[in-house]
Order: sequence, then C-alpha cells, then structure tokens
Amino acid sequence: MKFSIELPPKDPLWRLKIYSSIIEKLGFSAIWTSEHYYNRSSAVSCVAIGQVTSRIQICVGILNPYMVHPALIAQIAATLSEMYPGRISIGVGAGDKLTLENLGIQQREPLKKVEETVNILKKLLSGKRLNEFIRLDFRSWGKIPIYIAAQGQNMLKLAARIADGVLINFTGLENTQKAVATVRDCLNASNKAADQFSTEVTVMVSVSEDRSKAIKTIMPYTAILALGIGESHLEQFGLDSRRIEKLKYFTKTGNWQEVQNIVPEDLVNALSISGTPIEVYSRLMELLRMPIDGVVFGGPLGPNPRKALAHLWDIVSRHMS
Amino acid sequence: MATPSMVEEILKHQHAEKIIEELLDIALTTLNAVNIDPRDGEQLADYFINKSLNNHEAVSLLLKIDLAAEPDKTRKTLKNYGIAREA
Repeated sequence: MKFSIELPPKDPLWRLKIYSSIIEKLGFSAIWTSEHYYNRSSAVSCVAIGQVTSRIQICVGILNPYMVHPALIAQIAATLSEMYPGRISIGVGAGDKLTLENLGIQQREPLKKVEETVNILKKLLSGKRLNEFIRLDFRSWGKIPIYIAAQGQNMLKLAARIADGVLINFTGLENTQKAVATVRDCLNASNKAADQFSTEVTVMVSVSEDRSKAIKTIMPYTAILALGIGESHLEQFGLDSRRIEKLKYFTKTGNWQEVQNIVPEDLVNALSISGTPIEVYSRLMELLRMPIDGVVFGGPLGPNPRKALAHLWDIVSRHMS
Repeated sequence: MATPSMVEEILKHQHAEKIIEELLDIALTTLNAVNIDPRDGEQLADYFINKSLNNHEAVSLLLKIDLAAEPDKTRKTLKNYGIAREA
C-alpha cells in the first residue's frame, strides 16, 4: 500500500521544499503536485521537490491536453526524468471544465482527448516517433508511469485499459467504492496483472488535535470540490438554490469566512476525511477496506500542515503495524 | 526588528527548541507569505533541511521573516516566553 501526499504549489517553493523534506523523512511513497494556472507551475515545483529529496517518487499532476500539448507533457516528464531518473510519474486528465471555460477553452471530447494524450506519451517517452515530424530529441530515464485522473465511468474504464494507474477523487465512500469496482472489473476483463496497474484514491484531509480548527480549515476546499461535482450533490446536503448561489459567489471571490458559514459539516464529512487524529484514523480504515493500491492525502492536510504530516504518518504507521 | 541580543535570548532560553518551532510554524502558515522575500525563504529552507535552524543566523532570519509577515503574532509568541521587549 502506497501512502502519498499531494502538495499543491499554492505555497511559495521554499515552503514546498520544507514540506517535501519532511514528507520524505517520514517515509511517504510519493509527492504529487497539482496544476492550476493561478498557482505555481507543477513541473517547476517538481524540480524544487527533487532538489531536497533523494528517494521519494515525484509525480507531476494533473496536466490536461487542452492547456498543454501532449508532446510538451512528454517533454516535461522526460526532462524531469533526466534530473531524477526512475522517480518521475505523470498524471493526465481532462481538466476542470469551469476553469477551462474561464480561459476560453472548450473541453471537447474529453475521453478521446485523454486517450490520445496517453498514446502520444507512451510513444514519445519510449523513444518512438509519433509521425514523420514529431519525436523527442532526447531520451527519458527510467520508467515513467502514466496515471489518469478519473471520475466518470468511461474515464475510469479508459484508465484501467490504457494507463499505468488511476487517481480517483474521493467523493464519498459509496461513490469511491463504485469507482474502484469499475476499475477492478475492467482490469479483470482485460486480464491486466495486479502489479501492472495502480488504483489510488486522492482524498482531502484536514487533521488536528483541535477538531473545529480541522473542519474549518477544510471547508473552502470542500466547497470548491462540491461545486465542481455539481449542484445536485449540494442539494443532498440541504443547501437550497439561494445558498448554493451564495456559496458560488463567495467561493469565486475567495470570501472564505462566508464559505465557512454556509458549508454544512455533513458535506465536509462526505467529501473529506477530517477531524482529530483518531477520527481520521477510523475514516481512513473504511477507505482501506477497498481493494486499492494507494491513498494520496490532499487538500489542506490541516491547520498546521507540518503537524498534520506528522499526524498522518502516525496514522499510516498504526495501520501498517 | 530582530536584534542580536534577542536572538541570543532565544538561543539561550530553556525552551529554545520550542520557540524556534513556533517561529517556524508562523513562517509556514502565514497567509502573508507575499511579504516574505523568496531569497529569505530559500535560505530558511536550507537551514531547515540541513537541521541547522538553531544557530544565530537562522534564528535571526526566522525573526526577520516572521516580523515581515506576522509582526503581532511573532511579538505575542516571543512575549509568551518573556522575550518580547525589543521586537
């Protein structure tokens, strides 16, 4: 079982370096970055992470072919592998529809586009030509596993069919169970060996001895994730259309104080694993009953990420012992 | 502003390690990171990674960073340990 940490480069790179050094020393398997145009570049962040670590897997995530041409995604992965051979993984996905629209980009045929991207990556990273003109003029070093970030049934199936791994966003226990089952069925149907594919769940966490601080810290993240999933999801948690509109507005304008007043705790519990270390441990055990290969802890981690990392490693160690 | 005597006071304090940890957490959690010169941040990361946060230069840098980002919080932290007079 792999336990990894997602470090979104919203923090300055010097903070990322400090956290990366802590994460490696604690014993986690990998660090995933995330790509949002308004944050720092995930690829450059990976260079910074590599500078202060020596063992941990560095995972560039999640690049989408609407923003970055697949040939450039291959170039990024291969360049990083030259610096940190055998330690690079790459994550691709269809991108966030709303973010793409804000940039004037239409998310056309996401399934086809992601499939095409993975095929291009496989070719270019193995030193092959895509056609007469397109190739990398340098080689990649070590195996670079390709992950697909997937949510919908078809994307999950695609991941099981063509990628080396899948990253499933935790959107509640039941939804996640269904997603894992879909991947499992598809892997069984295609006779893919278990060690040829990694099913990993990315879950937002916020852990602290102070429960209320942990919950408060994760509320904005929960709001963003919930709005991305869809309004019907929010209605399930008792939010009427007026409050949903307010939530949208305050999330868009970054008024987190107001967001905290609107987001119900039930929603936080449904979309994340948050609370005291004991609560996080028992929620994590529910997740680990699923046939998965890894968990990526994402989100704020806690009101104090340094302390949260130590808590998470304690929790993971308890599970492993 | 951090003075050499304040740094000395921290380093000689019976809870020096705890104070430095709290000062580090201010640097890591402040929402005013925009006030921190990235060159200072890089230097701080070097001290942290090389486990040398408990020397004069590192504590002086930590105070510089914290006072730039969270002056009130930093003074309060120091005051809790009886070191707030000059900050």
